Order: sequence, then structure tokens, then C-alpha cells
Amino acid sequence: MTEKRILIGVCIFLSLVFAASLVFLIFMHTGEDGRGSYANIYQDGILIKTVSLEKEETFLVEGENGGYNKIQVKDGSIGVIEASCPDFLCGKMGFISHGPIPITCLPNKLVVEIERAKEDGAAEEVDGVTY
Amino acid sequence: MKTKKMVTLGMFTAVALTIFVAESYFPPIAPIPGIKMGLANVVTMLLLLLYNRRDSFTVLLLRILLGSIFTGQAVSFFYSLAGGIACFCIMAVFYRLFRGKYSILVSMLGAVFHNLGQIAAALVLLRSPGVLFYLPLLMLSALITGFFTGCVALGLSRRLKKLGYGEEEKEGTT
Repeated sequence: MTEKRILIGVCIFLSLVFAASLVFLIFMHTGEDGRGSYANIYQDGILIKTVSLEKEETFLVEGENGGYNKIQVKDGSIGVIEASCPDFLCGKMGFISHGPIPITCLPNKLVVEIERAKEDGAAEEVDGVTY
Repeated sequence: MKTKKMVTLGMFTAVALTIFVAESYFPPIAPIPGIKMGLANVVTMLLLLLYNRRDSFTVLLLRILLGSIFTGQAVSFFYSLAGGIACFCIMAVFYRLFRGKYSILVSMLGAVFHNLGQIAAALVLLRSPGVLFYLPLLMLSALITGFFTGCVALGLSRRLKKLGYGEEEKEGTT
């Protein structure tokens, strides 16, 4: 009897996980369309660099034990083009220009996140003042 | 008797390790850290079905320790450990609650908690809440891979039991 209850509980839990994941996945990919204008680069949880996505550039982020990631900004997007990590997942994630999903490099503890269009908000505020 | 079990568990450790190392050479299925088939988990589930929690946990810990040495990534040790222990705990609890039944469901639960454990480890190590956005994809992949590893473990355990593996102490045959 209790076994049946646990079984139903587990089934409901797994279905909920499935449904919630699908909903979030669809929501995450349709939610934000606008391009972010800045990207924040974190290493070991600390913000080390903020770059504008308007300006094309390539730079190197060096980590501990000789680990490195070469990051490129082009066409309003940012991505990793070269890295010391063996699987190169950070590079395979491609270039990102918007949305909440970050690029991460687990071996080098690197996170690249697109900043939400903060500049747009500021611009709106300015408009508010001029009005 | 004891020697036989020791040899068997050693063999299963080698099997798990081989799968683990071989899998690390596979090209990633999706460009998201943490998405892989988790085939080494078949051995954890299989040992839970064939022997007991203690043996399964021992093999799991040995596999994670040796696996991160062989693949040469110190970081992956913490991710594997966090995922492996979370997965094992939930599987052991529900394996017991279900008294060995519904092992495919148990395996799916294990896979879900494996990825939850890894996300938790990533939150601690990277200190960036952005990794939470990987959660939906990781959960979906866990449900799928958990289902398949569960099927494989169940099928294997049935065949291996016919070949005389498993808790033979109960029968008292030497």
C-alpha cells in the first residue's frame, strides 16, 4: 500500500521535473530577443572584465596552473575561440549575443554572461527626464 | 567465498573505470557541461541489484577517484563526487523502499539527482548563479539517460544472475 503511494509520488515527481524543464526551456529561448550590449567575464566567481559587444576585440584570460581562454568579440556576440581545457566545451558552446545561458569553462572556472540590456534601461530613463 | 567476491568487485571496478574513461573521450552530445550518457552509472545500479549498498558505494568511490586520476582533470573529481554521492544516496533509499522493484524509475531518479548534485558543485565552485540556466536541459537529459542506464542495468542483472553472479551467500553454494 505504502509502496504504491511512493511509486505514484516518484512518478509525479519525475513528470513534474520533465514538464518544468520543458516549460523553462521554451521560456528561456523565447523570452529575450534583444541583444545584450555588454558581457561580464567572471573567473572564480569574481568579475574580472566587462566588455562591450559593439567593439570587436580578442583577448586572453589566464587562470591558475597555466590555464587560459582566448575570448573573441565579433558581430555583437562573444565566444571562446581557444582554450587550454581538454574538452573545449566552452568553445563548442559557440558565440552568444543574448539570453540568460552563460558560457562556462569548468576546468578554468570561467563564466561569460551577457549583461541584461542595462544601457537600454538607462536610455529610457534619460528619455523620461527629457520629457 | 570472500576472495571470489573481492575479485568480482575488482572486476566491476575495472569495468566501470573503463566505461568512465572511454566515455570521457566521446564527443559531447550537447555543448553544455555535464550532459553525457552516464554509462558508468550502469555499474552502480547493477551492483545495487546484484549485491548490496556497501559494495556498490565502494566501487563507485573507487571509480570516481581512479577515473579523475586517469582522465587527468582534478576539477572533474569534485563534480563526479558531488553527482555520484547524490545519485547513490537517492538510489539506495528508493531501491530499499521499493524492495528492488521499479529499478528503471530508481535509475531515473538517480540520474536527476546526479545532475542536481553537479549543478550544486558548479554553484559552489564557480560561484555564479548563471549555471542554474543549464538546469532544464540537464534535467531532460537525466530523465532520458537515466531511463536507458536503468534498462541496461536491469537487463544485465537478470542475465548475470543466471550466470551465478549476485548474492550467492544466500544459497550457501561454494
